[in-house]
Formats: sequence, C-alpha cells, structure tokens
Amino acid sequence: MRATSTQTPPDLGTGGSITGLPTSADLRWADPEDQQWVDRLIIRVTAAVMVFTWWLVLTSPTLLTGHYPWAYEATGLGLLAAWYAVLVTAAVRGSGNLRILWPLPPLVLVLLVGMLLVPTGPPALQGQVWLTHPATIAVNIGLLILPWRVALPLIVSIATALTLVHSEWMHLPQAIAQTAAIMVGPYVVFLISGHLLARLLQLRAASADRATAVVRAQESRHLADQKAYWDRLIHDHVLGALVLGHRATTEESLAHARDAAREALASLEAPAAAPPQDDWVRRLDLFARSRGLVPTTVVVGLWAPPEVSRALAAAGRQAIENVARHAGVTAVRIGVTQSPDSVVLTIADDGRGFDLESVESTRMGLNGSIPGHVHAVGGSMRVTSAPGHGTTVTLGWGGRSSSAPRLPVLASSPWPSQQLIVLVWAAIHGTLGALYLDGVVRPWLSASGALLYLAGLAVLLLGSFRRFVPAVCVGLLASSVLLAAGAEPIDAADGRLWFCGALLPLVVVLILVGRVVWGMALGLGSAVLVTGTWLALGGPPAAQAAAVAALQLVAFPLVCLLLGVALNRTAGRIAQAGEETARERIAESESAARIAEGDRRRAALDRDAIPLLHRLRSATSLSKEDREALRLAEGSTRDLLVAAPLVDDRVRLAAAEARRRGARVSLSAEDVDPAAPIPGTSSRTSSDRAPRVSPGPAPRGSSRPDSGSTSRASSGAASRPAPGASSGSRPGASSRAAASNRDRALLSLREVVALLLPACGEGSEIVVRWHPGSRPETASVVLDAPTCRIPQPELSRALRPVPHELTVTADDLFLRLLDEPDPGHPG
Amino acid sequence: MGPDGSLRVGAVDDAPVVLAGLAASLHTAHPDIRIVTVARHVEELLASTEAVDLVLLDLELHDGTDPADNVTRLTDRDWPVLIFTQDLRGRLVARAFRAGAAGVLSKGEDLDVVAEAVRTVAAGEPFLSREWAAVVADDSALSGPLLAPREVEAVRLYAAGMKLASVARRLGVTDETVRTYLLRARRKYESAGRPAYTKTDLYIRAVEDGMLPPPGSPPAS
Repeated sequence: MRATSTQTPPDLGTGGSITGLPTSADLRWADPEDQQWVDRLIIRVTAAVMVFTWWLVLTSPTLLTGHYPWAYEATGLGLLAAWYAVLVTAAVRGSGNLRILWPLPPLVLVLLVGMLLVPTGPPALQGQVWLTHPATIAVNIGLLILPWRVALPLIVSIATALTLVHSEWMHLPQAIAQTAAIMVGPYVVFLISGHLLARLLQLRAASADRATAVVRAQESRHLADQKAYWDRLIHDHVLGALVLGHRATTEESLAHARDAAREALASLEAPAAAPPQDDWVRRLDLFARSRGLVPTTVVVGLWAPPEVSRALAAAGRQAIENVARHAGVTAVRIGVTQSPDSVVLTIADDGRGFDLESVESTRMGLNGSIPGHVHAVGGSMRVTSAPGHGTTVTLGWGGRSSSAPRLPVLASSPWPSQQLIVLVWAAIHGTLGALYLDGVVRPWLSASGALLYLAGLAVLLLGSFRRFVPAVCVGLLASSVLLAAGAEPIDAADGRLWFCGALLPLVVVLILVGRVVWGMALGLGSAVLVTGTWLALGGPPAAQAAAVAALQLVAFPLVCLLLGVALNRTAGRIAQAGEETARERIAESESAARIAEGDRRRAALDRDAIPLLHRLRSATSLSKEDREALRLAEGSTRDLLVAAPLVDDRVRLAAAEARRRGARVSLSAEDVDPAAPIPGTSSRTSSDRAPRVSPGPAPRGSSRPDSGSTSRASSGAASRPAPGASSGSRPGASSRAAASNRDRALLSLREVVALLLPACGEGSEIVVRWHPGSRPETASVVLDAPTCRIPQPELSRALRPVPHELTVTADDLFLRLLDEPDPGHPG
Repeated sequence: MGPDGSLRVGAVDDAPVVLAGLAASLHTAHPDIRIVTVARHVEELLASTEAVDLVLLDLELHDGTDPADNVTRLTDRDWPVLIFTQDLRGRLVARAFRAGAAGVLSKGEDLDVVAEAVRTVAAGEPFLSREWAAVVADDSALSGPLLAPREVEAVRLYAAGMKLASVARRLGVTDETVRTYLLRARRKYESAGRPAYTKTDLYIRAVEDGMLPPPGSPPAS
C-alpha cells in the first residue's frame, strides 16, 4: 500500500479560511488507483445524498405550500437536471476528485442573474424563492474546491445577486441576513464533514506509515531471529557434539558424543520453527515452556499498545504460573486477539480447576496481582473455573463493541473549531430571529425558549461536551417546543422558523462525533414536538407540518448518520487493509530471512561439520586423526559463530591450517548490529542503523621497556571524511562515514589476520578481537611466540588505510586498530 | 564439599546430552569434580534438593529467561556461578558479570582449564579470564575513575589476549605484580560497580519485560 500524504504542501491559494479546518487540498482525496473503489463509492454516494437532502430540506417547505406558474417549475426541474447531470458525470468518470463539480457555482450565478433580469415583480419572485437555494450548495462547493482567486469573485457575485433577489420583497438588512444564513450555515456543516474526511485521509496515511514501520521492524527482527536460531543450533548442538567427539577417548564418552551428534543432526534437519510474531506473546509462550508447560499459542492481530501488552503480559505470566503450579496438566492454551483498540488474552487449561469461592482462589493472585496489573491500564479480568473442569482466565482491554457507528480515531482529537462552529451558527440564527420578530405572537414563550437554547449552547461551549450531552439535549428539546409555540403557527412552512434550523448543527455535531443516539433523539424528538405544538395551536395541515418538521430536523441528521457509518466503515477497512498488507509482507520477509540465513549457514556447515557429525553418529571407534578432524571442525565452526564478520574463506582456511600445526587460534567479533550486512558479503549499502561511535580519547601511551620496533600511523585519507560525506553536520552522513571507516578497518583486519596466521605454529597463540564501537580501539591482535617471520612490508601495506598502533618484539606482536573520530564532531 | 571432599557442581544447559558428555569426561580426568545435578532451567536447579558448591550456567537458555536474572537467582542462593558457554562475546558476558557471575569459561576449553576454573571459583576466588578483562576494559565509566592507570593498562593488554608474562614484560614488572593488578581491578570492580549496575540493569530489564510497572504508574494492588 502506498502512503497517501495529506500533509503535502497545502495549496495556500485555496479554500479553508478557518485554522484547523480542512482545505480544499484535503478534499482532493488520493489518486484513483491508490484507493479502493468501495471506499470511493461510499464517499461519493454519501456526498451526493447529502447534497440532495440539503436541497430538499431547503426547498420542500416552499414547494409544499406554494402554487407556481409552470415556467418556474420547469426552470427548477431544469436546474435540478443540470445539477444531477454534473453529479452523475462525477460518479461515472470516477476521477475521485470533487473538482468535477466546478461548473455548479457559475451555473447558479447565471440563474440568479436571470431571475433579476426577468421583470416578474416581488410577489412572483417570493414564490420562486426555492430556486435560489442552490446558491447555498454552489457557494459551498466553490469554497471547498475552487482556488480563492476564482471562488471569491464568484461567491461575492452570488451573494450580491441573492441579496438583490431577497430585497425585492424585504428590507435590505433582512435580505443580507437571509443571504448570510443561507450561505454560511450549510458551509459550516460541510466543513464538519470535510474535517472528518480529512481525518480519514490522515488515518489512512498514518495506517500506511505504521504498517511500513512495523514491517521494517519485523524485517530486521526476522534477520536477527534467524541468526539467533542458527547461532543457538550451532552453539547448543553442533559445537557441543564436535567437542565431545574430539574428547571421546573412552567408550563411554564416545557413546555420549554419538548421542550428541544424533541430536545435532536431528535439529539441523528440523525446519526452523516460525516463532509467534509478537514479542510479548512469544515471551509468554517461552515463559510457559520454561515452567514445563506445553503451550498452544494463537495470535490474531499485529499490534497492541505497548503499555497494555506489558500489563497483560505481567498478568498472563502469573496466570501461567498458576497453571504450572495448580492445574496438574501441562497443556495450556494461550490466545491473543489484539488491535490498537482492544486486546484480549486468554490463558486456558483443562486441569483440575477449582471452586471460585474457595480459599484456593485467593492464593492464586486472582484477587490481587492479576487484576492489579490489568486494572492499572483500565482492563478487566474474567475467570471461569469449576473443580475438574479446567480454568480459563480472560484478560481484556478496550474494545467497547457497539453496533452504533463510532469514530474513535476521527472524533477523539481535540477540536476547538467544533465550538466555533456552534457559536457561528447560533449567532446567525440569533440575528435571523431578531429580524423576524414580527412573526412572534407569544413573546414570553419565544423569549424563554431562546433563553433555554442559549443556556444549552453555553453548557456545550463552556462545559465538558461529553458529560452534559443528555442534559443539554433535553433542554434543547424543550427550547424548540417553546420557540415553536411562541411563533405564528402558519409560519411553519416559512424560513421564519429560524429555531428549527438552530437545532440542526447541534444534531449534526452530535452525530458526527459519535453521540449518535443523542443526536438522533434530539432531531426526532424535536420534529415530533414541534409538529405537535403547531397542530395544537391550529397551524398548517397535519401532513404539511409533519413533512416540514421531518425534513428539517430528521432528514439531514439521517444523512449525517449515513456519512458517519460510511466514514467509520471506510476507516475500519483502511486499518484492516493496512494490517493485511503488513501481515503479508511480514510473512514474506520472514520466509525470505529464513531461506537466506538457512542457506548461508548450511553452506558453511556442509564443508566439514555436517559430514563429520554423520560419521560421528555411527562411529564405533575414533582414530587420533578422526578426533583431530573434529577438533579442527569445532574451531572453524566456532569461528563462524563468534567471529562471522571477520572470517572470510581466506581467514577460515588459514586458521584451520594454523590449528592443524598446533597453534591456538582465538577469533572473536562483536556484532554491532545483528541485522547489518557484513561488508564484502552483500551489495546492500551499509546501514545508518549502526550506532555511532563515541569519539573516545586517544589510547594511553604505554611504556614499552623492551619493544623492538614501534610504528604508529594515522591514515590521512581515512581520518578525513570522503568528499561525498563532507556535509558532516548531518547525523546520517557522519554515521555513514563512521560505518564506512569501520568497514575499511574490518577489511584491513581480515588482511592482517590472513597474513599473521601462517606465522602461527606449535606453541604459538593468536588472539584477534574485533569490537567496534566499544573501546578507543576497534580491534586488537596479539600474536604470541610466532614460529616464523612476520611479513612486515605486507603488514604495513594492509594497515595503511587504518590508523593503528603496532608493536613487534622478538617474542610477540601487538596491534591495535584505532577508532577514527566521528567526522561529524571533529576533535 | 561433598562427604568425600569432592566438588559438587550443578549445571544448567538446554542441551543436556552435551552436558552429560562433559560430566563423564570431566569426572574421568578430574575425579574430585562431580557434576551432581543437570537441569534444563534455573528453576529446575533451584527446585532440586541436591546441595552444590558452584553452578555451571549456560549463558542463554532460550526459555524466555534473562541471563543476568538467572545469574542473580543463583547467586542469591550463595552459589558461585561460572558461565559456561560457546560464545564469549561482549554484551551478554558483560551483563552476566554485572549480575554477579564469578567467571566465564568456554565450553571448548581444555578439561584441565575447566577443572582449574571450577576449583578457583569454588574456593571463592575470581577466575581471571580475557572475557572478564574485556568487560572491565569496555566499561569506561568504571575503569576510568576507579582503576589506577597501570591497572587499566594491565587489564586492557590482558583483555586483548596477552599472556600474563607478556603483559608483565610490556609493563616492565613481574608476572606476580600483573596478577596483583588484575586481582585488585577485579575486586574494585566487584565492590564498587557491580551492585549498582545489577539493580539498575535488572530494574530496566524488568520494566521492559513488563514484570514491573514503569516508574510513575499507579502501583498494582
């Protein structure tokens, strides 16, 4: 999966004027091929339905009450047709880009100007007002998708035309307020949806990033795992068998050696077991084995939050300990289902069980340490057990499962603009209400309704949103009834019922932040109550009143609900797809690492260790030569285990020869980074992951009373960074330079060792240690009692690229390869 | 000591076949050393009733337990621990030393050397080895302020693989003086550095493993 970055340079010339709210760049979601078509469809259909419902909400009251000349109807229908033609084109062409809607704003502008130019007179215009409502959508689309330099003149023109149309039958201030309400209100709702869409895109990018990070971590762990697996195999079995073999002088010890060889060969032939993926689960599995149990471990899911897995692992260990001590069986089932939202760990056995009420249970940590660990992270514990029927301990965290849509990731971030939106909305409707005061016939009812409404808003703005949701909803319901009862019932079908619109944004906000039940209850309840109030006061016909209320208060919230579900499902699908991809890639890297490391190790062992083990397995007696061969094989196998970076073919052969002559050869090389490639064995460029070397002081000069010749060299070429790495201030560059210095030192060391080994014979000893990154020197070589001449010129040639300290006396040789100062920190 | 004056050795290794082979040949060559208990896990050895004079411990047991933790659990019983492994590379060995191991020994070492190490450690003396010296030499936080320059130099040359005699020649002193330097360094390391290291190390490790809550989290009831 390719990461889609929504943080790419924002186009400052486009919409989104309120900080923190999405810009049009956020809404241009993704490349088409990058997104699953289902996601695309869900989002597009939802957007289309939202827009259509908004249209219906705004136009239906007028359509239901008025009678218009056929020409107006025809114009309206024509506009609708054009509108849907654009939407369908967008869906069919499948560009996945909202920009396809750009013709709408100009279209609406043409319509408005047309209405002004046709001299119909104010009353006719008023009847035709529903035709002006597409302006709302046009403005919003313009704001969301068009660059400012195009959108701004368009929007100003639309606003001006709309105000002129309105002012044909109302005062100018009223007309301005009406225009503002129509244009700004829906924009706010669209912004909420847009914000959530943007969060969705971020979620997807984050999910992809996380998947990549997990895969990377797993890849390097697989390499380390496989290395560790083979190291262990060689350490525990192969070397052990070879040692026993070369020591096998008696019949009894030979029998032991045969057993060990048989075991070593069996473990070499067994396929490398794939360990459970997750570290904490694997540790639990190993812990169970260390307690003599035979666990069956099943893991579903890749990630658990670290603090949760720590707590559950601690509790799980205690539960496993209980199984080992009390259950009386060895089989234990460890089950883990994990995700970033919920983790469930089950430890089950079919052992003797116990009575939950008995004293026994208090002794098992079931009342103390296990729930202690789990509760510390807000998790829960369930124990089921009965004497003779086994015990199951279930430890859970998170995962409040609910069929209602929730937007855990989308809605959880602090979102101050939420409050800003509510405030703007309330201000608009407050202004509208003040302008339409002539429609109020029972002022005291309207005033108390308005007060209640303001109180509800204040709580939402000042108090904790979540804690007061029920109280606020009840208060707002009451306010809508009071407002409805205070106004002329006949105005139900008119835009003067500003209070209906006043509730709408709250309903939408509630639904989109996941308080679906309360949001819908507020919308539905208010629709029913308002209709009832109008009917009781002798307002418009029942059907009409109900239709108006339902459309205004239910339809749009319903669409928001649909949007919420769609976003939620898409978010879930994104997370799932990310997880599946990650799982596949992890499985691939696991098997790749297994095959590569297996081939490498087998190839090395095939030369001597494996044939010798086969012979040892069926040997009835061992000659001196056989035992010598085993000793040599042990030496070179050990070299591969503990000095792999140092031992190339040349060193390996030379070391075997030296051992054959009776020298003691001891090679060791620290692994700086188990997953890092060994120079000269792979084309992969050296990693940045190698820890940086501390500059370290120059080695203390030692007094050498009888040193024959001492040479001290520092390589100019090596101690200066290469031209390509001259920008040493970048940490990556300097650690790369350090790593390449180190590679060079290792290559020199190999050369030196290959030169010195032939000087080792009976009675001499060579110790080579490669330990980069720990001491002032990266390597040391001690050659004691050389049995032939040391080739000095070749030695100095091999050492030329590396700063070093070399002392050669008649009896021994001592060489240190000095660590080079980190080029990033000169001096 | 056993009733016959022999050294009783407990051994922990997850390849018992190899261990059994070693026990047989070691006892043949050195009858005063007996491997009396062979266990796959530290837990198993601790559960055994057999008394031992010291423990040979494989460094990595692959049972999910931590090597340093294993050492501590054994030294808590006042059993000296001699690490017995094929792989004597730095980090793990350093951790084992910090946790209180008395010495490390390669499994491939000559039986005579194994016997000498067992006797030295059982007598309560530290077993000096290159690997131990390498750990101290690596520990600049420790070797710098704590050890005298001559001691540091002796430790470093010894760590590089030099014999005592060669170190002595290079420092212009006697073999015995070098030995004294090394033993002094070893004691200083043990008394000053080790306990603090052990506790912090173990705590960090325990937190990492989830055995202990991280600092600042509410205490578990």
